[in-house]
Amino acid sequence: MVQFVVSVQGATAQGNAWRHIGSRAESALRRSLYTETALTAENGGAQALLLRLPGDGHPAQALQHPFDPLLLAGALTVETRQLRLIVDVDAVSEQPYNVARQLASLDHISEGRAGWLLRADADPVAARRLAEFVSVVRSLWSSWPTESIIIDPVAGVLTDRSRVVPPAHHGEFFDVAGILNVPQPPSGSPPLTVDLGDLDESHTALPLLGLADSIVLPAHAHRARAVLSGVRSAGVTVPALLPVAVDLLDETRANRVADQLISIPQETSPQPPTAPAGLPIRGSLRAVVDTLAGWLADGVDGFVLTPGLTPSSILDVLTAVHPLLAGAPIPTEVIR
Amino acid sequence: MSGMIFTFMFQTSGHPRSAWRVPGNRTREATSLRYYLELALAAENAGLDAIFMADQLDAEDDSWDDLDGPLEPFTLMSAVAARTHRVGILCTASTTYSDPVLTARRFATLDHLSDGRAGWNVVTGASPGASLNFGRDAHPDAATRYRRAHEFLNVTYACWDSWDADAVHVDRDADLLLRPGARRRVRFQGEFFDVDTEFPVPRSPQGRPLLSTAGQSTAGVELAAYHGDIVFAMQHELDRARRERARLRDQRAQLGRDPDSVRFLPGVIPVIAEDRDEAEELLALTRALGSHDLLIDELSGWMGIDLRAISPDTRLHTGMIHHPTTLRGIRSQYEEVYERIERFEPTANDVIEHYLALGRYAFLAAVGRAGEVADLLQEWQQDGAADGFTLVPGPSPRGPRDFFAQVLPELQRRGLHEPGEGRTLRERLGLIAPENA
Repeated sequence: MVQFVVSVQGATAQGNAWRHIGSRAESALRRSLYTETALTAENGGAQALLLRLPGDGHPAQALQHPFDPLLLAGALTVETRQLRLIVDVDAVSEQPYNVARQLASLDHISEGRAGWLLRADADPVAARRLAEFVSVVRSLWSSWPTESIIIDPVAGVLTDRSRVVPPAHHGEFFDVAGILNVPQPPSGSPPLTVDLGDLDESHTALPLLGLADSIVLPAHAHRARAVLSGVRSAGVTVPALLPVAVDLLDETRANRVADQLISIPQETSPQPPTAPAGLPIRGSLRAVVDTLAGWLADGVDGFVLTPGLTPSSILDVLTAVHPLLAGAPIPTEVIR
Repeated sequence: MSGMIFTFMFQTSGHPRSAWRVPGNRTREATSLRYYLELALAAENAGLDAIFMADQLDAEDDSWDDLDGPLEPFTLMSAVAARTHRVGILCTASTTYSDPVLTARRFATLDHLSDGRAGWNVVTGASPGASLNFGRDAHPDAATRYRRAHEFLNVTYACWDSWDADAVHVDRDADLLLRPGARRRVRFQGEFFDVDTEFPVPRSPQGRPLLSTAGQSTAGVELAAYHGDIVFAMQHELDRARRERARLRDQRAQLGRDPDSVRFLPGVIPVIAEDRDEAEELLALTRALGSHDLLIDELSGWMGIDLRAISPDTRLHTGMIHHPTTLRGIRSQYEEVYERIERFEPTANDVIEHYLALGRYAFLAAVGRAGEVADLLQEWQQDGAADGFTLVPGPSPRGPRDFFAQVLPELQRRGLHEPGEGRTLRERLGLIAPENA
């Protein structure tokens, strides 16, 4: 099954997409915009939402991720039923004890739908710190096990203390006694997505990779292929997701959308210095299906859908592209 | 000044400690979102002003405290905000164990997601054990914690004030998302924090969330006088509460601000029954279910004497117990115990029975029929001992519902609690943030 993770944004900076008539830039501070994207994702069969941390303050990115991702995930919990909610975690400003509490709480209130994302760092010290961060968080999650919670009012026992497992962690970067004051999350351990966006093929031996439940490749065709083949030969077998920004430009919409694209001077404002959020994939339905199928054939397991230039880009992928990709060994034949 | 303010402490099992053992108690649902949403909607529909969520940064030796409200406040309250429309959403966050820019980002987000209903209960403490979960050698002393709290708050103000209210202005033709110059870089250098950053969240509907504080030590009252909009207090004697409220208001006035701009809200455990006998029965039940051992251990630890080793009839006096300033953790609870011993020189058994009945936090217990409870709260307000109350769940498995259904309407009939008008929580409470702190 092709996995789709929808990256939620306010006013999309990439390619100045927010300048389109029809973009929802004015709604970037309204909860309803995020709810609508979440429902589009859920109804369209996506598996997860990705809630990114705010950017570095570049004016063009000012409204791309204006909210804290943890709180946005909490608010979207009540609007969705199936989607995993992946929270981008800032492991530099945060402490593992708090992150463990927050994600365990998100997992409880969403009945097991929490996920987290960490951005891999090639610096050897930062890489070791991240790996230690993950192992501390995981040991905290199992420190107050579900089976230790008794709640027997007659006997007067809340928790069987003999079954709690204090991490008593003393590592290179963190000292955490435990136990966690949130009971074990219902999923046991919310899955970890590791974002390799900043890496190239020479960085595939990072300790964090061995802890990942899925990985996100760089949003750049050449580097994505190189990193994918690097991590696969390093023995990392978890699903790999490619971030893409898809625009369908075909049939009746082609001219209208193309006109709009041309009417916006793409380079007026300086683009953010960071890498684009998604690899741009533009063209007719058939061309887009071919391109995505090609990536699947090359060993990618799914895609992180970031908004393209057209306001409907995520909806288009989920409703038009997805059915053609699903179970289509040779997509071009399906289209014919 | 408008009517009394009522906030509600968002907990599962109530006070005293043994309340979770009363048949019908819902501690089993302590991690269920549905349970909290049900409570939040009941509070909102009753016209309560705000829901208040406490927080801890370590697990207690006694897991009662953890199952009493085990979810992390930001996570749970953002979900609650999405399902409510009018009630205030108050989250506790520590200034000792978190980062000010991150904290400012979370509260600004909560304020946006709730359309201007966010509040922050500022705590410096949590228990000393938190240091062991955050890689600190020891819990910082009170003076350091409060210096850090002031600076922490000033950093968050700088973050929230770095965006003009009208900064967001989408103009496609001019290629502008923001008005030029309407967002400024946050630069701050102090004893604890060195910040140079762009704050990512545009100014929220309230600008600043409502600020609540809780400490009753000298440093705690000073923090409240400088920064607080509401103060959560632990008082069960009217005279003492009146003195504390006056002290807070005096300090506020000395800073050149209107004393009515800070509201004093003692915690109250309403125990509402058809008649007094039923109420007393419920209290007796929780007393019988209560654990002497835990309470005696805690009191002994605070006092520095072993209450088991002395005769229950021994009269206690301050010469034989620790002074509160020797405690490293939360002092307010022990200060209450200390003052009680100073004033009454009770026997060891009196002290144990007293706190066993009230719960170790010694909140005001309002026991009786709805009308009697309303009388008591009215008396406190009219005597200058309270501007409103924080409802603390008691032993009744019906939780605060009896209060919502019977006492609040009675207070409204008496004209003592009226839902305020306004777009945001601050506007509805008449507590507008100062332009610049």
